[in-house]
Amino acid sequence: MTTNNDVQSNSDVIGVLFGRQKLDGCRITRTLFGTTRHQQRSVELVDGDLDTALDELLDQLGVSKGTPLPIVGALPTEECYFATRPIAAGSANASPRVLLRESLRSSATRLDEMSIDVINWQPDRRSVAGIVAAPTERIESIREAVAKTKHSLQRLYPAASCLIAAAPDVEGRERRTSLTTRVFLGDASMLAVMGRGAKPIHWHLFPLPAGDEARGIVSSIRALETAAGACGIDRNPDALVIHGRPELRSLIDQQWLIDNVHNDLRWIETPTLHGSDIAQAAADRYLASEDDGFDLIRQHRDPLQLRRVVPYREIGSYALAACLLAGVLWMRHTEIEDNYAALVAGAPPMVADGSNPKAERDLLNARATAVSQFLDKRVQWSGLLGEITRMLPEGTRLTGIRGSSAMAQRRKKQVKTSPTTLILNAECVLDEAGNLPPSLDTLAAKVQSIENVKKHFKRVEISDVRRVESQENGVVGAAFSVILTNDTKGAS
Amino acid sequence: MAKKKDWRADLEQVVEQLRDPFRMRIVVAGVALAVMYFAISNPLHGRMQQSQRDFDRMQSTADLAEEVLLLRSHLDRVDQRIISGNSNDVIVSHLIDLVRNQPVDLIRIDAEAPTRLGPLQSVRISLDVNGSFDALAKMLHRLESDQYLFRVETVSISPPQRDNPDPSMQLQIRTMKDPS
Repeated sequence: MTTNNDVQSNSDVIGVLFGRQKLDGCRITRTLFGTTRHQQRSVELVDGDLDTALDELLDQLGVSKGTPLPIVGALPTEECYFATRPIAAGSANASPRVLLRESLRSSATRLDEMSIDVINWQPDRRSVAGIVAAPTERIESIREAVAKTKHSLQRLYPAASCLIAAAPDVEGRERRTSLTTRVFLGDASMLAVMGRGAKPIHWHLFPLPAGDEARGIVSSIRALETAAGACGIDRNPDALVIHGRPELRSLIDQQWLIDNVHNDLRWIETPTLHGSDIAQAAADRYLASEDDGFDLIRQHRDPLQLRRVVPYREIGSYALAACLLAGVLWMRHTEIEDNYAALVAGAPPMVADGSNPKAERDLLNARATAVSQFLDKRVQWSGLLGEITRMLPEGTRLTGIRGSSAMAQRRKKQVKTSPTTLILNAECVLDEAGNLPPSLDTLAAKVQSIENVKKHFKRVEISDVRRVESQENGVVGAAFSVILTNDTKGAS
Repeated sequence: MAKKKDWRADLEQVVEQLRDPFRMRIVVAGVALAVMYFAISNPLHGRMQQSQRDFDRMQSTADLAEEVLLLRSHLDRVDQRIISGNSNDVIVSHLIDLVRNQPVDLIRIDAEAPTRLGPLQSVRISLDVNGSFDALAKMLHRLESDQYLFRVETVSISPPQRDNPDPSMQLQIRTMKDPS
């Protein structure tokens, strides 16, 4: 008969303190959102009938027989033997029976009737072996009772170790690994424990004298610290924590307690030595997967199957993330493909042919550049000359025209340009007083105002004005030149 | 056999290690990340990059094609105004025909050897004509508005001389020629 790991549930656990007189149970249900629901019940044992009491307890906790649930048991502290022994570095592999025999210092004890569990660890400078033992007969009776309920007994902890494991959780994180003395108060007894983190070094159950609780607490702590020396601890604990019985806090002189035991004293309401707290602590410990403590049925555990430790939820999350990743990437890929198809559909036919239009583009560009060079600054002389001659004063005749507008030449990336020029030679008659006609004064401005002239020339000036006499009829007149140029070098 | 045994023993040892839930989680996370990277992200990302490269290449080709179409449409209007042919005879005969239809006298026409103008050629022609101012102006206008593109680089109009009762006009003309 094993613990049957197949029924292991991560969300619904029942903790039971198997007392001699009564059973205390606590069912913890964890919801989908991570919150937990606690349900606590107690059942008296009638004539020591554990089977009936357990059935009744499970009924009260609303557990159906159709669904096997994990049950985590706790054995009362007074039914467990516990000792911690310092061990040499090389003897860590000593068998539990050898360690227990050495601890008991007795060869008469029948170790084959004891269930033993050993934990090797190092609470301080020295390595120690924590040994816990309980009568096999008692453990077997609990296992058989649970087996009859069709549920599965997953762990059987000493009650003290459940409380010690639960205690650091109600304190701050900084205290969880310190060497601490704890006193769990009950109605008529108290459990004094020295431990580090969730593991006990030494514990002892003391009676709690009614009316003289303070003295009882102090004496129990002193006795505990004295005994801890034999466990390999050669220094005082870092802190003292008292759990439970909050009504005593106001009745006991705190300063007196501090003066007699420890400076760093704290009093916390939970967990107490009550059975319901122990059952809850056992279930909590199992739910938290804290598996480094004592377990009196360790030898009955199924070897943990691989499929039990496979984190299916995480794998599901990873699979979901992978699907999302694949979906996003696939959508982006599809989008690019669609864009490509749309581009090909709307592109000119030469793209669909697969031909590369770059060569044609270069040829056409070169052709366009040549045409552009040819047409750049091209002067339409006929229209231009017509417009200028219309501006000439009355009685003026053109005697010569010279115009130049050469195409720019490109030689080795250099562009050689010649200035565009137009020289009009003209003659006009003088007025009756022998003066130049007044319209000649404004001729340059008038020519300059012609749009076609503005387009090609920057300067217009009248030059070389002189008196001339006609050889044909002897009339005296004036000769002048109109010079148009786009060369600004001589501009004033 | 020894090797096979060792392999099995190693595998069993790995399985034993995986019974630790923390190690199992680490391994599952590692495997999941490896699967996501090597089986999903890497191949799909590679395909995406390849598709993006194809798209970019096609986009640039399409842009080129658009540019070619635009250039074609512009140059189609210009090409018909460029003289085609290998020799200058076409140009000279065209100019002679042009002058013949005008009331001017052709004194001289001379075409220089073609020079390169990109994929085209440019030819410079010297043209001397006599006629009245009005006829010369009309002839100049006819030349500049011809079906072919001419660029009058220099124009020189001189008054009548003793041996020549009409004004004369000397032109340096340039035109484009498509040798293909």
